[in-house]
Amino acid sequence: MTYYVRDLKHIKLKHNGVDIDVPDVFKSFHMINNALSAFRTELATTTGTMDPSYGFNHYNRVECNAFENLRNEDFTRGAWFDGEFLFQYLKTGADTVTLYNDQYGTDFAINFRFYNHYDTGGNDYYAMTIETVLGGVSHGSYVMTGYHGIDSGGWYRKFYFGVLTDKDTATGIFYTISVLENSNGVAEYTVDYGSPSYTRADWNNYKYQYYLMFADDYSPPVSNDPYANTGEAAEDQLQTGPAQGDPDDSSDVINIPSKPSLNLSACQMINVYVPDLTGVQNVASYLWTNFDIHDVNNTLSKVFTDPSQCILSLHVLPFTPESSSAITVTFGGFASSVSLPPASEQYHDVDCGSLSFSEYWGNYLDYNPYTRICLCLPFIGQVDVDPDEVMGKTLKVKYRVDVITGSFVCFVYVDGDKVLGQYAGNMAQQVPITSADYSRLNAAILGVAATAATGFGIAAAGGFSTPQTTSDGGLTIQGGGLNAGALGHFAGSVIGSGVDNILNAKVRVAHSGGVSGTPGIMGLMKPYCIIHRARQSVPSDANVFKGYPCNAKFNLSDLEGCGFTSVRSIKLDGLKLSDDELGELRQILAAGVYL
Amino acid sequence: MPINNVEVDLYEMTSDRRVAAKSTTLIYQKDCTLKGDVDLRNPAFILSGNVETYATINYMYVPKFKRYYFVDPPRVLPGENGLVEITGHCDVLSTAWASGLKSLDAIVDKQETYYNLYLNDGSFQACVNDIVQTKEFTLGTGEGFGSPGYVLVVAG
Repeated sequence: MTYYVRDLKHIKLKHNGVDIDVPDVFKSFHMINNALSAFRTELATTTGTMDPSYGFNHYNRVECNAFENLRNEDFTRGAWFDGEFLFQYLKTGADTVTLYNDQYGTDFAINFRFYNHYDTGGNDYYAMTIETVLGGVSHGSYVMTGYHGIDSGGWYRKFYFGVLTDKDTATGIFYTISVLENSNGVAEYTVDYGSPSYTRADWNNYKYQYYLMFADDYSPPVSNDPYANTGEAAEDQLQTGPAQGDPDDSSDVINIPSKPSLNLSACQMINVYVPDLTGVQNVASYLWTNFDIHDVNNTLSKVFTDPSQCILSLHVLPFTPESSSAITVTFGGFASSVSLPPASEQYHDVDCGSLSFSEYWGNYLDYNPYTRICLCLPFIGQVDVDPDEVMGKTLKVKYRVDVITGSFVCFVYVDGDKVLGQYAGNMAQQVPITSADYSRLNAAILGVAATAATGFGIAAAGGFSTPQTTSDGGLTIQGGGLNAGALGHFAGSVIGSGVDNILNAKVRVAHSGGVSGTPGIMGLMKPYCIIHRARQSVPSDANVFKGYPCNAKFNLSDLEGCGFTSVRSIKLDGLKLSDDELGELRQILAAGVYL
Repeated sequence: MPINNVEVDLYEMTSDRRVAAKSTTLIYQKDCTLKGDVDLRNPAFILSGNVETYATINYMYVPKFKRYYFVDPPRVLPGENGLVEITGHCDVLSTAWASGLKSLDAIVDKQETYYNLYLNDGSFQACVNDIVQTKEFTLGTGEGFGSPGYVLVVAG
């Protein structure tokens, strides 16, 4: 057998069956010099009894045959453990501290038990016994005592313990070494109890025969490797058992919010009217009637206040807002001769219908990135929709419009009001009343057109585009994308017919530019989608000839009669074939067989 | 020294070599002489008879070796009257299938009957010309923008 050092992190302690903390001293690293040679020297043992005046009773027995194949390097990594800490737990005859490796449980353990208590000259001396429990290897009860305190010679005494396990047979081999430290803290491990000048022959022929070293994680020597000791070692990341993920399939519903409760017209700083064509004509007529010397009030009001300056906005929306009964229109507090219905709401919702999506192929090609969905929205333009989010669902669009300004937020959502996205813009067609209004309107229109120009034509090659937001009232113009270099693929080179090859060579094209504001009212008024689906090319009965993706564990007997099977991984246990034959078999299974 | 009296089952086999449990018809059971050194993977046997006798034999089982073999076309031994030689190559798949392979667990990569079509392992191909559809939203009652309307916002 060959013995190796085990990871220290697996060392556990129990006191009377209850877990206790493993002290930091377990984790220390100490180079054990010449331990093997020292140990071999100690193999020849005798039993004996210590001088009882020192409060010791001890004997030892070593199963030499378990240690035949020890190698010096097996001892070069380990840690000294100060056994003195055990005495805080071993106070009564019922106390036991169990040390074990949690990979093997208490079937391989050391049990430290209270042995005796001596009170000599005012000093407390506690003695303990050690019993080793080794599964599968002949073992014995090694009884050894130690004490807590200081002997009369001023020497400190400690007992050192460790664990060495055999990685092949999971056999725990426990070695204890009795160490006497001098006042300088130097461990003289080859020396029995007593001063360094004592020899075994001088000490009534009894010896300490136990070598017990703690396994510790091997600490490599300091090197110039810049990555050394920079974090968790790969071995520390290993685990056994299933993955420890916590799958959470739940999803929150993001609802369309309620309309804002604040109504600007309620503050009476402004009034909002919803005139029909006749009403607008009446306003125009009022604004530009001639002065009438006989209509003093009317004349004076127009001399001192230009009513047109009180008009904050006259615009057209692509819908008729809700209104109530007509009232007199006031301009700057002066009642006019015009009556118009006031708007009864500031925020108006426009539902723009729905579109349901279902799988076309019934396979992965129905999803991102092999299927692409481009949603064209009135007053916005083109936005990308992720097929993964809408497949098997119904996509809906709703505009929430501020009647006063024409600004809107467009909600794109699926079943149950789960909002996938929101886009802002303006859908008011401004009616210029003055020349200044007209100039400003034209400037705005030209600005939109300039920005929209970047949205036309070829965006870039790539399987998926990244939305870009301009400053034009929240307008989104799709452009750009991944892998612009893939344009080169299109220029005459051979493109493989694998699905991913096709995808990467595709060129994305934008389907609209900016259509908000005044131009928007001339655009499309109903949302629509452009759906690109990969056109799969699968021969008939392809599953018979080459199978379809499976990626699952099976017992091969369950696949008997189920046709083509290719194996990615198998453990070929129990087959009476040569190594070459097993290698050939593995290749055959990987290429595909018929069961 | 040739080894005599090795029992060999000679078959006509009609399955693809990748089939685990092959379809076979036993034609002869013969005691054969093993030619040359024993090679469990590629044994050669000497049989009595004409080439025509064994012309359709393409498969064999050697109970002593506990192995199945693909068999090459028989060869007349030069200078030997009435003796032919057949050479076999171990069919590790069928041999393993008969001796415990079917009881093992495996991670299956592709399968004819059990599969997950939402996995993309790169084995499918697609045409360059996508299927392109344009789908307009369906409006319900009261949905859509409707008739345009004026809005007049006045101060005061």
